[in-house]
Amino acid sequence: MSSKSPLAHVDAATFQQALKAFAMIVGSEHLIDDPADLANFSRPLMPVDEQSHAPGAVVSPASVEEVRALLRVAAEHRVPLWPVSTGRNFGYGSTRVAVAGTVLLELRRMDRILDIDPVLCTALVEPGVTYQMLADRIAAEKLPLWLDFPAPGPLVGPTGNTLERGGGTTPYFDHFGHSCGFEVVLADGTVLRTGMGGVRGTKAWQAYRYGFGPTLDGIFTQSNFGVVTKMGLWLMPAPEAHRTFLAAWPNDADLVRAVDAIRPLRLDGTIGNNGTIANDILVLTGVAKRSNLFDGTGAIPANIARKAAAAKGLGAWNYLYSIYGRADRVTADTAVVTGALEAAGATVMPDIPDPMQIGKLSLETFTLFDWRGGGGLAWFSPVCTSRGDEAAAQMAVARTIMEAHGIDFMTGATMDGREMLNVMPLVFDRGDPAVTEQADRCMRALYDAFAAKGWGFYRAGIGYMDRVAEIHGEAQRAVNRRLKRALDPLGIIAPGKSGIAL
Amino acid sequence: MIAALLLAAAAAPPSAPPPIWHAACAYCHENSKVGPPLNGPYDPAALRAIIRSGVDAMPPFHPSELSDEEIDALAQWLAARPAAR
Repeated sequence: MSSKSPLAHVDAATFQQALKAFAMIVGSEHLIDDPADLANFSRPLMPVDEQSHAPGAVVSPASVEEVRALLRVAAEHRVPLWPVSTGRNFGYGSTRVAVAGTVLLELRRMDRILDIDPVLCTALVEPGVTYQMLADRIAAEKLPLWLDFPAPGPLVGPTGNTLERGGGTTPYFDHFGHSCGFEVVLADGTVLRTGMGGVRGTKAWQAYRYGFGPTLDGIFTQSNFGVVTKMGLWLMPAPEAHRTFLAAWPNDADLVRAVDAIRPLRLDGTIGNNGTIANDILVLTGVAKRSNLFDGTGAIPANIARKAAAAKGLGAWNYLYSIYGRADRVTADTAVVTGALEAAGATVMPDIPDPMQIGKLSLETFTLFDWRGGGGLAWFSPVCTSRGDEAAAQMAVARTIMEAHGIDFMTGATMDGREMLNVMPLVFDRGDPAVTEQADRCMRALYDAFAAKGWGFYRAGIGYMDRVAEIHGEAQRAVNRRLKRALDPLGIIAPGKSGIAL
Repeated sequence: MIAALLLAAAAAPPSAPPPIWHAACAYCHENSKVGPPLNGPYDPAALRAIIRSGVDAMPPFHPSELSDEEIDALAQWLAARPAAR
């Protein structure tokens, strides 16, 4: 038993009493409080201070009733719980917490696939279900259904990614937009089913999202108002045909005409998915070793990256997209899209293998994490409009700041008709404290510069949530605080998540 | 008779991999440019340490998704399989 409490507001004896009570609920084998085991469990990737975001313990319930009991104990002892599903969230916080000492509520043991409906193409899952489990089930039942998942697909699950409003790269890329019905345990133990879920005997919980009255699902995403214990999601019927393409533009300045050419094709649905516009360095992470290209200090020079990309037939900007549907439509739309992008200066390469765009699980993109060695990763994720001039402006600001901090400028923006989620990975050596501090300074400089330009964010990681909440305005923050006080008056669920506290 | 049994045992193919192999490991460690191929044998304790803590691009695997016994089974299977590609 430690003589010191990891929580600032709770004494050591009370903290230990809470852990003991947690263990009584889940079994001592499902509670981790040994410092060495905790350190392993919660290896940080982000460039934030380790101690400031270290969890105090990990508790893993197996049922809704156990979640309710844990919340009751948490309230009694004022020991907060931070829910995670599979606990990945690479580059946004993994299993770190906003307030040091908060106990991780790991929901991985709740891993039942409760339903797959092949008629309506829906599923109902618990938070511990991974995309791999769903894929195995779909394959075992030979269902003509596709999953949509983020880059670490096999290792993560739909509930966590949806609650973070993450995305993928098929036509079902918007995971929250394709969720349908949450079961949420509130801090007082109330079990709420959103949408149609409150209607006794309903068969429409996973079919109709909005229910009656206010639609509440959104307030349980990127928030700390409850613990989501079940989630419905929609599955994509496998299309009759599909083709994946890479459009490459040779010059940095081509981004403007690339975005302006893609936008109308996304707005009218000719291009069926949120393709990715990646710069040369990001695509090089999949086909080259950095150490073979550059052995100097600081960011890789632009001319070296450009030359290396060109040697592999890649451009300064590379747009990976797919066309899906009936075979005749794919043929017709391919001609339209290829013609439009070539007219805007692109070289279009057909039939590119990209598992993610066709619903096949892969971890190929993990080559990104080893680009510089040392396993450091943080995502800087501004929202941009789908206008070429604004996209180019964001890239220029980000590139200048990243290179000034010795970070390679990389972006893999996902582009819809109206908005781009301009996700930029900062990859650095987490084993070097000076480099890690420099990466943190870079993140903070990026937030300052983007806020000054009026650019907001789609998502933020541990250590930067308060700053992003501040950028998004005091009125939003105040309303979130009022919701928090109403739904969790003791502040026992994920204090500080998305900058929301009592 | 005993010699024949021993020969048969030596020639027997490795048993099926533990489920975690296809659910996670193989994505990066079999026909992949992400991680190195795994050619055992590995010391189970060392393997467990790496799997539990992760290294560089490889994330840690938690006790709730992979038990110590499952890691030991993985080590045994890796030690018995032919050299990976």
